[in-house]
Amino acid sequence: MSAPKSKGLVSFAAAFGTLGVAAVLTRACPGGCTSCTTCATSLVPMVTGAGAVGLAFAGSAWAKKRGEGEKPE
Amino acid sequence: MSKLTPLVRNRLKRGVGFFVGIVLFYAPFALLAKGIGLLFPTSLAGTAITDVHTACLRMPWGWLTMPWMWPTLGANPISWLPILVLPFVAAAFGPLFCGWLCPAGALPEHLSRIVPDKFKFDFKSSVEIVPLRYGFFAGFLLAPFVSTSICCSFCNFTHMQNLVSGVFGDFSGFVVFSTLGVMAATLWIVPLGLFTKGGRGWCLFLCPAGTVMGLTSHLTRKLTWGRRVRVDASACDSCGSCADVCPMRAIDMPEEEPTINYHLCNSCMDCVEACQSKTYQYKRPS
Repeated sequence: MSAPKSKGLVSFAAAFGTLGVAAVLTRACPGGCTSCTTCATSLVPMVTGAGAVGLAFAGSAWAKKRGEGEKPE
Repeated sequence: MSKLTPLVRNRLKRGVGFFVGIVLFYAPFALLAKGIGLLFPTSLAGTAITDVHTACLRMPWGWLTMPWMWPTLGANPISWLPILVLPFVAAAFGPLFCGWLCPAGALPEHLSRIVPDKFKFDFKSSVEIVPLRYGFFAGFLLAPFVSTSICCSFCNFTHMQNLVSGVFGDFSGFVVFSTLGVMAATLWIVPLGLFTKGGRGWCLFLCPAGTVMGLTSHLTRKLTWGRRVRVDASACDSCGSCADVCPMRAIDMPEEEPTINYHLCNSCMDCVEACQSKTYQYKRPS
Protein backbone atom coordinates (compact mmCIF):
# COMPACT_ATOMS: atom_id res chain seq x y z
CA MET A 1 0.00 0.00 0.00
CA SER A 2 1.32 3.45 -0.83
CA ALA A 3 2.37 5.74 2.00
CA PRO A 4 -0.33 8.39 1.40
CA LYS A 5 -3.06 5.73 1.45
CA SER A 6 -1.79 4.12 4.63
CA LYS A 7 -1.59 7.54 6.30
CA GLY A 8 -5.21 8.15 5.38
CA LEU A 9 -6.37 4.71 6.49
CA VAL A 10 -4.59 4.94 9.83
CA SER A 11 -6.11 8.39 10.41
CA PHE A 12 -9.60 7.19 9.47
CA ALA A 13 -9.28 4.11 11.68
CA ALA A 14 -7.91 6.18 14.58
CA ALA A 15 -10.86 8.58 14.45
CA PHE A 16 -13.51 5.91 13.92
CA GLY A 17 -12.08 3.51 16.47
CA THR A 18 -11.44 5.95 19.27
CA LEU A 19 -14.78 7.72 18.89
CA GLY A 20 -16.52 4.32 18.76
CA VAL A 21 -14.79 3.16 21.94
CA ALA A 22 -15.56 6.50 23.60
CA ALA A 23 -19.23 6.12 22.63
CA VAL A 24 -19.32 2.74 24.40
CA LEU A 25 -17.46 4.01 27.46
CA THR A 26 -19.56 7.16 27.77
CA ARG A 27 -22.79 5.23 28.07
CA ALA A 28 -23.51 6.84 31.40
CA CYS A 29 -27.11 7.62 30.52
CA PRO A 30 -29.55 4.69 30.44
CA GLY A 31 -31.87 6.76 28.25
CA GLY A 32 -35.06 8.59 29.16
CA CYS A 33 -34.08 11.37 31.54
CA THR A 34 -34.96 10.67 35.16
CA SER A 35 -33.00 13.70 36.44
CA CYS A 36 -30.46 11.33 37.98
CA THR A 37 -27.64 13.87 37.17
CA THR A 38 -25.23 11.08 36.21
CA CYS A 39 -24.47 12.82 32.93
CA ALA A 40 -23.73 16.06 34.74
CA THR A 41 -21.50 14.64 37.45
CA SER A 42 -19.64 11.64 36.06
CA LEU A 43 -16.23 12.53 34.71
CA VAL A 44 -16.03 9.33 32.64
CA PRO A 45 -17.75 10.80 29.54
CA MET A 46 -15.61 13.94 29.67
CA VAL A 47 -12.34 12.07 30.03
CA THR A 48 -13.12 9.41 27.42
CA GLY A 49 -14.50 11.97 24.97
CA ALA A 50 -11.45 14.21 25.22
CA GLY A 51 -9.20 11.16 25.19
CA ALA A 52 -10.82 9.87 22.01
CA VAL A 53 -10.27 13.10 20.11
CA GLY A 54 -6.71 13.42 21.43
CA LEU A 55 -5.83 9.81 20.61
CA ALA A 56 -7.21 10.11 17.08
CA PHE A 57 -5.12 13.24 16.46
CA ALA A 58 -2.06 11.55 17.91
CA GLY A 59 -2.61 8.48 15.70
CA SER A 60 -2.97 10.62 12.59
CA ALA A 61 0.09 12.72 13.45
CA TRP A 62 2.10 9.52 13.99
CA ALA A 63 0.94 8.08 10.64
CA LYS A 64 1.68 11.31 8.83
CA LYS A 65 5.15 11.60 10.33
CA ARG A 66 5.87 7.96 9.56
CA GLY A 67 4.47 8.35 6.02
CA GLU A 68 6.70 11.33 5.30
CA GLY A 69 9.73 9.08 5.81
CA GLU A 70 8.46 6.59 3.21
CA LYS A 71 8.57 6.84 -0.56
CA PRO A 72 5.15 6.62 -2.26
CA GLU A 73 4.97 3.58 -4.56
CA MET B 1 -11.29 56.50 7.14
CA SER B 2 -9.17 53.94 5.36
CA LYS B 3 -10.82 51.86 2.67
CA LEU B 4 -11.68 48.30 3.64
CA THR B 5 -9.85 45.59 1.72
CA PRO B 6 -11.97 43.14 -0.31
CA LEU B 7 -11.07 40.40 2.20
CA VAL B 8 -12.31 42.45 5.16
CA ARG B 9 -15.47 43.37 3.25
CA ASN B 10 -16.07 39.67 2.52
CA ARG B 11 -15.61 38.80 6.19
CA LEU B 12 -18.03 41.54 7.19
CA LYS B 13 -20.59 40.13 4.77
CA ARG B 14 -20.08 36.70 6.32
CA GLY B 15 -20.52 38.34 9.71
CA VAL B 16 -23.96 39.49 8.58
CA GLY B 17 -24.62 35.86 7.55
CA PHE B 18 -23.74 34.83 11.12
CA PHE B 19 -26.60 36.94 12.50
CA VAL B 20 -28.98 35.82 9.75
CA GLY B 21 -28.16 32.22 10.73
CA ILE B 22 -28.95 32.96 14.38
CA VAL B 23 -32.32 34.48 13.47
CA LEU B 24 -33.15 31.55 11.17
CA PHE B 25 -32.12 28.63 13.36
CA TYR B 26 -31.77 29.63 17.01
CA ALA B 27 -34.36 30.38 19.70
CA PRO B 28 -35.85 32.75 20.66
CA PHE B 29 -36.14 33.53 16.91
CA ALA B 30 -35.87 30.17 15.06
CA LEU B 31 -37.78 31.62 12.11
CA LEU B 32 -37.14 28.59 9.90
CA ALA B 33 -38.61 26.10 12.36
CA LYS B 34 -41.53 28.42 13.12
CA GLY B 35 -42.22 28.93 9.41
CA ILE B 36 -42.19 25.20 8.69
CA GLY B 37 -44.36 24.68 11.80
CA LEU B 38 -46.97 27.02 10.28
CA LEU B 39 -46.88 25.09 7.00
CA PHE B 40 -46.97 21.65 8.67
CA PRO B 41 -48.72 22.16 12.04
CA THR B 42 -48.80 18.45 12.97
CA SER B 43 -45.07 17.93 12.34
CA LEU B 44 -42.22 18.22 14.85
CA ALA B 45 -41.74 21.88 13.90
CA GLY B 46 -45.41 22.57 14.58
CA THR B 47 -45.71 20.74 17.89
CA ALA B 48 -42.30 20.73 19.60
CA ILE B 49 -40.21 23.41 21.24
CA THR B 50 -38.94 25.64 18.46
CA ASP B 51 -35.21 26.04 18.78
CA VAL B 52 -32.18 24.72 16.93
CA HIS B 53 -33.05 21.15 17.95
CA THR B 54 -36.27 21.25 15.90
CA ALA B 55 -34.17 21.89 12.80
CA CYS B 56 -31.32 19.59 13.89
CA LEU B 57 -28.80 19.18 11.08
CA ARG B 58 -27.04 16.23 12.71
CA MET B 59 -29.50 13.65 14.02
CA PRO B 60 -31.43 13.06 10.76
CA TRP B 61 -28.18 11.59 9.40
CA GLY B 62 -28.02 9.28 12.39
CA TRP B 63 -31.73 8.44 11.97
CA LEU B 64 -31.00 7.17 8.46
CA THR B 65 -29.06 4.34 10.08
CA MET B 66 -31.89 3.59 12.56
CA PRO B 67 -34.96 2.03 10.88
CA TRP B 68 -37.10 2.67 13.97
CA MET B 69 -36.61 6.42 13.41
CA TRP B 70 -37.67 6.41 9.75
CA PRO B 71 -41.35 7.23 10.51
CA THR B 72 -40.19 10.27 12.51
CA LEU B 73 -37.93 11.26 9.65
CA GLY B 74 -40.65 10.88 7.05
CA ALA B 75 -43.26 12.79 9.03
CA ASN B 76 -41.10 15.84 9.69
CA PRO B 77 -40.29 17.94 6.65
CA ILE B 78 -37.72 19.93 8.63
CA SER B 79 -35.62 16.76 8.93
CA TRP B 80 -35.24 16.72 5.17
CA LEU B 81 -33.24 19.94 5.29
CA PRO B 82 -29.87 18.30 6.09
CA ILE B 83 -30.54 15.20 3.97
CA LEU B 84 -31.94 16.74 0.79
CA VAL B 85 -31.75 20.53 0.75
CA LEU B 86 -28.27 21.27 2.07
CA PRO B 87 -26.49 18.55 0.01
CA PHE B 88 -28.31 19.83 -3.09
CA VAL B 89 -27.15 23.37 -2.29
CA ALA B 90 -23.63 21.98 -1.76
CA ALA B 91 -23.75 20.24 -5.15
CA ALA B 92 -24.98 23.36 -6.93
CA PHE B 93 -23.05 26.08 -5.11
CA GLY B 94 -20.56 24.44 -2.75
CA PRO B 95 -21.15 24.26 1.02
CA LEU B 96 -22.42 27.84 1.24
CA PHE B 97 -24.30 27.02 4.44
CA CYS B 98 -21.03 26.30 6.23
CA GLY B 99 -19.19 29.35 4.97
CA TRP B 100 -21.96 31.91 5.08
CA LEU B 101 -24.79 30.89 7.40
CA CYS B 102 -23.73 28.49 10.15
CA PRO B 103 -23.34 30.48 13.40
CA ALA B 104 -21.76 27.53 15.24
CA GLY B 105 -18.93 27.45 12.70
CA ALA B 106 -18.61 31.21 12.33
CA LEU B 107 -18.40 32.06 16.05
CA PRO B 108 -15.02 30.39 16.77
CA GLU B 109 -13.69 31.52 13.38
CA HIS B 110 -14.44 35.18 14.04
CA LEU B 111 -13.34 34.93 17.69
CA SER B 112 -10.04 33.34 16.65
CA ARG B 113 -8.99 36.57 14.94
CA ILE B 114 -8.30 38.09 18.34
CA VAL B 115 -5.54 35.52 18.96
CA PRO B 116 -2.20 36.18 17.23
CA ASP B 117 -1.25 33.54 14.65
CA LYS B 118 1.92 32.60 16.52
CA PHE B 119 -0.23 31.05 19.28
CA LYS B 120 -2.33 29.00 16.84
CA PHE B 121 -1.91 25.41 15.75
CA ASP B 122 -2.11 24.57 12.05
CA PHE B 123 -3.52 21.04 11.83
CA LYS B 124 -2.76 20.86 8.11
CA SER B 125 0.92 20.50 8.80
CA SER B 126 0.63 17.73 11.36
CA VAL B 127 -2.42 15.48 10.77
CA GLU B 128 -4.39 14.02 7.87
CA ILE B 129 -7.48 16.25 8.06
CA VAL B 130 -9.79 14.57 5.53
CA PRO B 131 -9.48 10.93 6.75
CA LEU B 132 -9.83 12.08 10.36
CA ARG B 133 -12.96 14.00 9.41
CA TYR B 134 -14.56 10.96 7.74
CA GLY B 135 -13.43 8.69 10.58
CA PHE B 136 -15.16 10.86 13.16
CA PHE B 137 -18.24 10.97 10.93
CA ALA B 138 -18.32 7.16 10.74
CA GLY B 139 -18.00 7.09 14.54
CA PHE B 140 -20.90 9.55 14.80
CA LEU B 141 -23.09 7.26 12.69
CA LEU B 142 -22.12 4.32 14.92
CA ALA B 143 -22.67 6.16 18.20
CA PRO B 144 -26.49 5.87 18.41
CA PHE B 145 -26.17 2.06 18.39
CA VAL B 146 -23.78 1.86 21.31
CA SER B 147 -24.40 5.00 23.36
CA THR B 148 -27.36 7.17 24.18
CA SER B 149 -25.41 10.11 25.45
CA ILE B 150 -22.66 11.02 23.03
CA CYS B 151 -24.45 12.56 20.05
CA CYS B 152 -26.21 15.51 21.62
CA SER B 153 -23.49 16.24 24.17
CA PHE B 154 -20.94 16.18 21.36
CA CYS B 155 -22.86 18.88 19.47
CA ASN B 156 -21.70 22.44 19.02
CA PHE B 157 -25.15 23.49 17.73
CA THR B 158 -26.51 22.70 21.20
CA HIS B 159 -23.83 24.79 22.86
CA MET B 160 -24.42 27.64 20.40
CA GLN B 161 -28.14 27.50 21.28
CA ASN B 162 -27.25 27.70 24.99
CA LEU B 163 -25.12 30.77 24.30
CA VAL B 164 -27.79 32.52 22.22
CA SER B 165 -30.49 31.68 24.78
CA GLY B 166 -28.20 32.93 27.55
CA VAL B 167 -27.77 36.28 25.77
CA PHE B 168 -31.58 36.60 25.84
CA GLY B 169 -31.80 35.67 29.52
CA ASP B 170 -32.69 31.97 29.29
CA PHE B 171 -30.04 29.89 31.09
CA SER B 172 -32.05 26.65 31.25
CA GLY B 173 -29.73 24.97 28.74
CA PHE B 174 -26.79 25.25 31.10
CA VAL B 175 -28.69 23.47 33.88
CA VAL B 176 -28.63 20.17 31.97
CA PHE B 177 -25.01 20.49 30.93
CA SER B 178 -23.31 17.07 30.97
CA THR B 179 -19.59 16.68 31.66
CA LEU B 180 -19.15 15.57 28.07
CA GLY B 181 -20.99 18.72 27.02
CA VAL B 182 -18.56 20.85 29.03
CA MET B 183 -15.64 19.12 27.29
CA ALA B 184 -17.20 19.49 23.82
CA ALA B 185 -18.06 23.18 24.34
CA THR B 186 -14.54 23.89 25.56
CA LEU B 187 -13.00 21.95 22.68
CA TRP B 188 -15.21 23.82 20.18
CA ILE B 189 -14.26 27.30 21.37
CA VAL B 190 -10.76 27.01 22.82
CA PRO B 191 -8.33 24.49 21.27
CA LEU B 192 -10.30 23.92 18.04
CA GLY B 193 -11.40 27.57 17.80
CA LEU B 194 -9.29 30.30 19.37
CA PHE B 195 -6.03 28.38 19.07
CA THR B 196 -6.53 26.76 15.67
CA LYS B 197 -5.31 28.41 12.48
CA GLY B 198 -8.51 29.51 10.72
CA GLY B 199 -10.63 28.96 13.85
CA ARG B 200 -12.67 26.15 12.32
CA GLY B 201 -11.14 23.07 13.92
CA TRP B 202 -14.56 21.76 14.98
CA CYS B 203 -15.87 22.16 11.43
CA LEU B 204 -12.79 20.38 10.07
CA PHE B 205 -13.03 17.33 12.27
CA LEU B 206 -16.25 16.95 14.21
CA CYS B 207 -19.20 18.46 12.33
CA PRO B 208 -21.24 15.71 10.62
CA ALA B 209 -23.34 18.20 8.63
CA GLY B 210 -20.19 19.85 7.26
CA THR B 211 -18.69 16.46 6.45
CA VAL B 212 -21.70 15.43 4.39
CA MET B 213 -21.71 18.74 2.52
CA GLY B 214 -17.95 18.56 1.95
CA LEU B 215 -18.29 15.04 0.54
CA THR B 216 -21.17 16.14 -1.70
CA SER B 217 -19.21 19.16 -2.87
CA HIS B 218 -16.19 16.99 -3.70
CA LEU B 219 -18.16 14.31 -5.55
CA THR B 220 -20.08 16.85 -7.64
CA ARG B 221 -17.27 19.33 -8.25
CA LYS B 222 -17.13 18.58 -11.99
CA LEU B 223 -20.85 18.89 -12.69
CA THR B 224 -21.35 21.45 -15.42
CA TRP B 225 -23.96 23.31 -13.34
CA GLY B 226 -21.99 23.22 -10.12
CA ARG B 227 -20.45 26.48 -8.97
CA ARG B 228 -17.31 26.29 -6.87
CA VAL B 229 -14.25 28.38 -6.16
CA ARG B 230 -12.01 27.48 -9.15
CA VAL B 231 -8.30 27.98 -9.62
CA ASP B 232 -6.54 29.44 -12.64
CA ALA B 233 -3.01 28.33 -11.74
CA SER B 234 -1.50 30.25 -14.66
CA ALA B 235 -2.42 33.55 -12.97
CA CYS B 236 -0.85 32.60 -9.63
CA ASP B 237 2.20 34.48 -8.41
CA SER B 238 2.76 31.95 -5.57
CA CYS B 239 2.42 34.55 -2.83
CA GLY B 240 0.54 32.05 -0.61
CA SER B 241 -1.96 34.59 0.73
CA CYS B 242 -4.88 32.34 -0.28
CA ALA B 243 -3.62 29.37 1.75
CA ASP B 244 -2.91 31.70 4.66
CA VAL B 245 -6.42 33.19 4.87
CA CYS B 246 -8.37 29.96 4.20
CA PRO B 247 -10.26 29.15 7.42
CA MET B 248 -10.77 25.53 6.33
CA ARG B 249 -7.08 24.93 5.44
CA ALA B 250 -8.35 23.72 2.06
CA ILE B 251 -5.63 25.23 -0.15
CA ASP B 252 -2.35 23.47 -0.82
CA MET B 253 0.56 24.89 -2.77
CA PRO B 254 2.44 21.85 -4.15
CA GLU B 255 5.23 23.09 -6.44
CA GLU B 256 4.05 26.68 -5.89
CA GLU B 257 0.74 26.08 -7.70
CA PRO B 258 -2.45 26.24 -5.64
CA THR B 259 -4.98 23.42 -5.49
CA ILE B 260 -8.29 23.39 -3.62
CA ASN B 261 -9.40 20.41 -1.56
CA TYR B 262 -13.15 20.32 -2.13
CA HIS B 263 -13.65 17.92 0.76
CA LEU B 264 -12.84 20.91 2.96
CA CYS B 265 -13.61 24.12 1.01
CA ASN B 266 -16.76 25.81 2.35
CA SER B 267 -17.06 28.44 -0.41
CA CYS B 268 -16.43 31.32 1.98
CA MET B 269 -14.63 33.22 -0.85
CA ASP B 270 -11.90 34.59 1.41
CA CYS B 271 -9.28 33.28 -1.06
CA VAL B 272 -11.12 34.90 -3.99
CA GLU B 273 -11.00 38.26 -2.24
CA ALA B 274 -7.49 37.92 -0.79
CA CYS B 275 -5.80 37.01 -4.09
CA GLN B 276 -4.51 40.05 -5.91
CA SER B 277 -3.62 38.16 -9.09
CA LYS B 278 -7.22 36.95 -9.59
CA THR B 279 -6.22 33.28 -9.46
CA TYR B 280 -9.56 32.31 -7.90
CA GLN B 281 -13.03 32.69 -9.34
CA TYR B 282 -16.37 31.40 -8.15
CA LYS B 283 -17.84 29.79 -11.23
CA ARG B 284 -18.85 26.61 -13.09
CA PRO B 285 -16.08 24.30 -14.35
CA SER B 286 -14.51 25.57 -17.55
